[in-house]
Amino acid sequence: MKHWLLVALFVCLGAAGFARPQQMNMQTNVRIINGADTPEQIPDKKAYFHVMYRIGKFAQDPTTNPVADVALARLGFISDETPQAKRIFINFANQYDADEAEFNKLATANDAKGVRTDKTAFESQIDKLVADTRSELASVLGTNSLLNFHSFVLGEKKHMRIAVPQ
Amino acid sequence: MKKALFLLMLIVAFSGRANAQGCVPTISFSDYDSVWAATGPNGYPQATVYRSYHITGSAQMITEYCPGSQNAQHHEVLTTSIGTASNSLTTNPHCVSCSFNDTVTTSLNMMPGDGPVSGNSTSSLVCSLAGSFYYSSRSKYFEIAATWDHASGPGTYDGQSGGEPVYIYNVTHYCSNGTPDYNPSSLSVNEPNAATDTYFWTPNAILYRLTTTSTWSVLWPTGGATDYGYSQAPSSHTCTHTGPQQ
Repeated sequence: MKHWLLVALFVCLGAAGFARPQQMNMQTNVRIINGADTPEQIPDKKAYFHVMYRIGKFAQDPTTNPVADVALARLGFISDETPQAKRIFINFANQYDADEAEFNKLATANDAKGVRTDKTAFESQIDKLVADTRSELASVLGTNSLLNFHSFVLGEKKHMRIAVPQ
Repeated sequence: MKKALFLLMLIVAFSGRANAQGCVPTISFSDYDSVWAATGPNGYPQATVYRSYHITGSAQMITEYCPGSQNAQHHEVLTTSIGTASNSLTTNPHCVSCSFNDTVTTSLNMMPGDGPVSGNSTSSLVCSLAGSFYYSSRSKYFEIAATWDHASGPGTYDGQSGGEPVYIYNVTHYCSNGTPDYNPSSLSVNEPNAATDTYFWTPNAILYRLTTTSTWSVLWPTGGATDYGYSQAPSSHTCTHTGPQQ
């Protein structure tokens, strides 16, 4: 009898420890904000992040650099504004990548220990990076270019979506 | 005997509880499905249309409450397309709570009058233990239209702008039948003696829309100067596009 119970116990432990994670069915509870329907619910800082990162990445790839040039020229950036703005966008994208890599190092170590990683510090760091980059842009762009760029970013919200925890 | 049965019940109850409580990632996710353009490799009026799908976020989870998940990894799968042009990306695996930031881009050379074409951008967040646990899909319809113009007479000097002389040309629209209603009667160009077969390509000239009934949007943001080309034979493309322009 004891032997039978031992076998049953082993089967249960096996099911709890191994079988279940492989059949894990994760739940995701999120609410979607679609910028095509409610652009005002997409935060400006999120819209600026996406647009500046995109242009920064286009600008540092020789294949897509003309796309960045066209976009900035069509925004009315004058000739000496364009190289400065591109430098700022490239720095922004690179700094984001560096900050994210640093955060991921911490998250990897915490996951291995089973400890939750607080993401708020990283999020604040990125919010500050976006704000600082906007200030830097304001220091090199004329009023018209700055307003054109702001209008463009707001218009791009219709191509963005955000999923937030419910 | 009774003790052993009780122990068994505890184990079964505990294993179910841990899974139900712990394997719920806190997802933060945003995507940006953007459309860009540059001059095509054959020059005006060809355009290369770029579609760039960018996702960023994280799926954080307390791994100690989710049995086996400390050994789990996540990765993302992205696709994007414009008609027959497509691209995809499967990222390297990373830790469950890591932040992700991925982009996939595709491009298609288009002439005014090409299309309409459609395409999707999709993304999946995938767990090595649980499989795909978040999926996002965006559909876009691309219809490219344009208006371009020919000088109908000599330019008139209109002073200087940005250190360069400006000339006003009366223009006729090459492609006015059914095009989006961007129909300027004259254009301001930094070019003194444009021949009548010079075409002018204006910043508002390439338009796209995302459904057959939606408002036309300017593919290239407004602003900037008018471009021009010399002695190009008019395109054989007919413009059949209709609809309001943004």
